[in-house]
Amino acid sequence: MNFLSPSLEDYLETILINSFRGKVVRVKDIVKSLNVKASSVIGAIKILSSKGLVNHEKYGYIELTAKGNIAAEKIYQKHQVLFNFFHKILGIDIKAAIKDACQVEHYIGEETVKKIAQLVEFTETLSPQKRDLWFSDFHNFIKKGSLNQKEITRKKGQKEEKKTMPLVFTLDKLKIGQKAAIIKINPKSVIKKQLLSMGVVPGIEIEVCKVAPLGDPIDIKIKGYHLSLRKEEAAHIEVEVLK
Amino acid sequence: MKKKIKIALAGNPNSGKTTVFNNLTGARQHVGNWPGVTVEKKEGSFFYEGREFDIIDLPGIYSLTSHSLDEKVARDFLLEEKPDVVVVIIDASNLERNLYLAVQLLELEVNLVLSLNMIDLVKKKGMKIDMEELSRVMNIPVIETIANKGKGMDELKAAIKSSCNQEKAVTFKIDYNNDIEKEVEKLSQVLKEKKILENYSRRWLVLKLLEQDENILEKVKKLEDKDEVTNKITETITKLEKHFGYDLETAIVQRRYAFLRGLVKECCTHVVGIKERKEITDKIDQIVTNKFLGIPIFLGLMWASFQLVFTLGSPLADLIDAFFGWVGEIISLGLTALSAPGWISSLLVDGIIGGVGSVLVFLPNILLLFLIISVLEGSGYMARAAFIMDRVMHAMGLHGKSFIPMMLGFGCNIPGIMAARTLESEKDRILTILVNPLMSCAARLPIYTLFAGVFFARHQGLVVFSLYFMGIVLAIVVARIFKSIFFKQEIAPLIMELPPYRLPQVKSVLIHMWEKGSLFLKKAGTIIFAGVIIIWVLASLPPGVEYAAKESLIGKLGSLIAPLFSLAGFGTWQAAVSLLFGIVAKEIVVGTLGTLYGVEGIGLKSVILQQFTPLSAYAFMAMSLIYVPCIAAIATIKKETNWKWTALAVGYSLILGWIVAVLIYQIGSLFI
Repeated sequence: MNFLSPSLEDYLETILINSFRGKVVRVKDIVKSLNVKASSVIGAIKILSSKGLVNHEKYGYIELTAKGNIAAEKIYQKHQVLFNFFHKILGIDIKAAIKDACQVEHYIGEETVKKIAQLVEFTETLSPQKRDLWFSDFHNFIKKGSLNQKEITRKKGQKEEKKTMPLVFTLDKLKIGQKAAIIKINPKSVIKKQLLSMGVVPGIEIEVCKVAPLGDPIDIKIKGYHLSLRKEEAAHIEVEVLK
Repeated sequence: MKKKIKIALAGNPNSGKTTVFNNLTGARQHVGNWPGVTVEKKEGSFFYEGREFDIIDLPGIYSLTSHSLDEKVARDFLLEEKPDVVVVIIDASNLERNLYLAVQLLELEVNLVLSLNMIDLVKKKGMKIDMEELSRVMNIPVIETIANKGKGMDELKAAIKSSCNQEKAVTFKIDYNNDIEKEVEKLSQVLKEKKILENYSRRWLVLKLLEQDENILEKVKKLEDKDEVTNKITETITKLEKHFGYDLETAIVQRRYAFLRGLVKECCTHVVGIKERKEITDKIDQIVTNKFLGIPIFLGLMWASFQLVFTLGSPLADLIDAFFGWVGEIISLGLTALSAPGWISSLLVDGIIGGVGSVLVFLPNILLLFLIISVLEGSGYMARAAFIMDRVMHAMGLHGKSFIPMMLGFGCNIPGIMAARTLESEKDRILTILVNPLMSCAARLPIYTLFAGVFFARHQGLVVFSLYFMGIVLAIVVARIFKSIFFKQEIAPLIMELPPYRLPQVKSVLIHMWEKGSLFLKKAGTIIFAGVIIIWVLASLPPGVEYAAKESLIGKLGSLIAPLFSLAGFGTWQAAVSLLFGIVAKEIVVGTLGTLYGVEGIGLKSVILQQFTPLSAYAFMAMSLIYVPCIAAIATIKKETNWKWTALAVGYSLILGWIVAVLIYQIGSLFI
């Protein structure tokens, strides 16, 4: 593949993400997402289309070609890895983590990204207690600049400093009134078919409306209607919390 | 002679489909079952401009996959029966999700008419839908309807008529992205060459195969040279999934919804900016599903329902009772005047009028019960009840949706058992069916009303409520035990829409009431009638014996098993015999007692007062609640499961009933 400038890479990525969200992508979507002028978008799309990475004809929709999709996925994956690393491991807040990931993704080498990805993956294979401990130690270290012995030799399973913990979001973890966008449904779960046909598709916004008096199931609002499901089912749905 | 036109009605649950159906057909409808399964099938017909239209109401579904029986039934009908026109009822206030079904139907290449129902609600919300644009993009007729006010029905009929004249109107196609389209094209070629399943729309077939629809895959696997095709499909799926980075089914559904989202955006405009206003449904839910109020309200509603059945139903029941007493007397007098033989008079008065009368007396109560159930369903509260109760149902190894079959079981176990079809998992379904007979059906009411009326007149409601409650508690215990014995694995998920609250339609409620009521009457007219005649015969043989005396066949049979029940305080042969015949149908327990004691109405009450004590009466009621489902229920269980489960249902209830009755009497005797 030919060399792409960072801004072209950003365009590709934006098209991919927009198509994840279940939308048809138009020039104005990109204008909105990247906060640039329509004329620059059109220029960029022309270049991308000359490189055979996008199709841009019917009804003004923009679509990635197979080649374009591969290129975009590559950048997007880098972005995801970097974001996870910044946010989950380093504990940088979501906005800043996204911003930095957007910058670094264009310059970082594949080998480095791979190692970072493996590190993130490694922390996820640790037992939950171990991981909690590790993270809270790390965040204490950042706060105090040192780590006293007591904290290191603490018994496992002890909960502390929950606030600084990065959260892995599944739908069951959300609180009443929180809004989120669906990222994916666990493809192996038996409820996937049913949820999909009821409109629970990636990119859709949902809101947690209520919890049954006995604590389970929960009720979410999606596409303007109310859907109730048990927490154990909600745990199969990965979401990204919106503010 | 012009051919009848076949129409199918499809739509999401709660889209107002049944109301449209009732409006179109009026009284010209009947309820049956889909062949081979027990999903309810409603058929009806109407005339329009000189032609007759047969109309079939498909089960309410969200999509045309085959993950639930309802969807499979609907899909098989569309594929195999090929109706001339399919009318899709769309809840216009929830356009996007409702249109998903329509889009799938279009892909199936059926002749479609869209009915945008509840359009008034849309206008109330300050929205406007551009019908013409919608009709143009989807290339099908779109009609505005307000079914609960009967509006738009003529227009709908006209659209149906003109639509069935067209040969093949469907040119609709969703553009899944280029990569998917290319593969669809390739696979279509393969199917075409191999001449596989040619009676289906090829594009739809390919898409279903790519979505890994089990039903269609199975059909392909049955073919002779399937290997090339199945390999090709797996290959394509792997390739596309690798390309997308996530599973293909999600990708396909996502694109369908993406199309709809675009379409809805283009067709809908907010006329006035009253966005984000709290809707009435949300306001009601804030109270009804409230953390603290939810359960008290739920219990209160259930309690009120039963009070209503009694306070409103009993006076009417007394009237019917009086009527049958009067008819019996007239006939008896008339026959004596004609000097007919004694046994004819006995057969007519003791057997037929006595028995059937004792059943019909309780029709008011049963109609009221179904009135309440259909109001609960029609208003949208039933789903909230499942929402509130799921934690409990789940704890007893069932599903929030099991609550609905259980609730229906209070009316009659047969629809209750049939409603268990809404459960997707077979395990949940079987468990729900097995414990359903413990839900005290309306046919047990006659027994309770009689005994509670005689012995606990001042606390009638409370005593009857306690029996219903006992049934529920036993159901929990039994379900847990069976679950731990037979189904240790995980149970099915709860994914349920909470529909907006609506005022139940008087017409729909009445039709529902009539349907269920007449079902009960049919039962009363056939099985019970047969039962009563058998009793009369057994009570009259051997010839010459005094009617229903101890020396009659029935008396001997009763005397034989009576000692079993003396531990429970009702060891009389009459009680034993009445229970024996209660297996035929629980309604005839009272009828049998009447026949055996040779009295009815007030007379029966005074006989019972002598034969039972309050304690043994309570034990008897408990026994009638638990022991052996009636024949109709047994037949339904068999139809829904197999002989093994049916035998279990009969066996456990018999033993459990006896144990509970004995325990009540023995423990009670210690205190009284």
